[in-house]
Amino acid sequence: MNKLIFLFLMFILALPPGCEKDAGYPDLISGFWAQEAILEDGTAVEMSTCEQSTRLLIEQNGVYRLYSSCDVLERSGTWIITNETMLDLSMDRWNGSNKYEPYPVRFTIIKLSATELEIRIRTFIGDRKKIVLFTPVAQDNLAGMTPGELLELDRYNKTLRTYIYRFVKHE
Amino acid sequence: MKAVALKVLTLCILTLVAFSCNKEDPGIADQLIGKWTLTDKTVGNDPVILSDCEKRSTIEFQVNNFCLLYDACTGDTTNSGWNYKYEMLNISVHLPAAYYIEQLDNTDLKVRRNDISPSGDLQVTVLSYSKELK
Repeated sequence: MNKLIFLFLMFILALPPGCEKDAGYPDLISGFWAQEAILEDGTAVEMSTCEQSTRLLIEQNGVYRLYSSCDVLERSGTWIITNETMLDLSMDRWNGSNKYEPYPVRFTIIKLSATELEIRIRTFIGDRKKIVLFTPVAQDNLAGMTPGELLELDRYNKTLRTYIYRFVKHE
Repeated sequence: MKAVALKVLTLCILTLVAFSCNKEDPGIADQLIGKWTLTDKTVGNDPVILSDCEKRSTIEFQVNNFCLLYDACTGDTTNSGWNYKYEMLNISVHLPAAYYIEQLDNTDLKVRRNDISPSGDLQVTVLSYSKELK
């Protein structure tokens, strides 16, 4: 009898801790965020008017919407936090031809509180141009470029950069 | 001995049930089932005057996660899917926008929806419905 009780208690202790939310991150990240700063390799970038206007509406059902004053449309995608340290967003990426297509992008969460969100990504300059992070940028215009210029541009686009995006929550 | 083993097994099963996770709320989903008529709308804190035909527009939630959206002004009915998950009412044709349920009982439904205005501000729309009683 005592053995059975002991086994039962061990079974209870071995159970996972029930239905806890993932450290409350969905509650923290849900909200209306305004882009406050962009850092490139640790140096603050002077944000354009468009970048200053960037807004991120994150909702707890795993969907977000993205607005910038210079963007032709409001963009949307999905979000999920994994391992409590990664923010995965499906974002628009220029296909190099004629349209944007959904593309998975993973950010490292540096800071997430009730009022601040700071995320980091290390990627190629060329990818930064193609992906709407979080403001669209003009695509390279290759018309009239010499082979040497194209090579130089290609090398530049294959340079890695670390980008940090900082948002503050607006009520 | 067999009786004790049975009791332990019963306790284990009950414990597993108690620890089970469910992100959906079947109670709210069940309460939504039915046909709802639009009665009120506010955008920001400003009431919106609904036309007579808008007041006859309905949304009908069915048990198979299917819903019908009837626009009385155009006469069109749109087929859509719906679910209630992560404390949000998701109607597929309205995505990426979704709704927070502010009030739900046997006769009244009030939902809130967030959007981004053309000027980049948060815009909150609240829609109120009353249930059509059979």
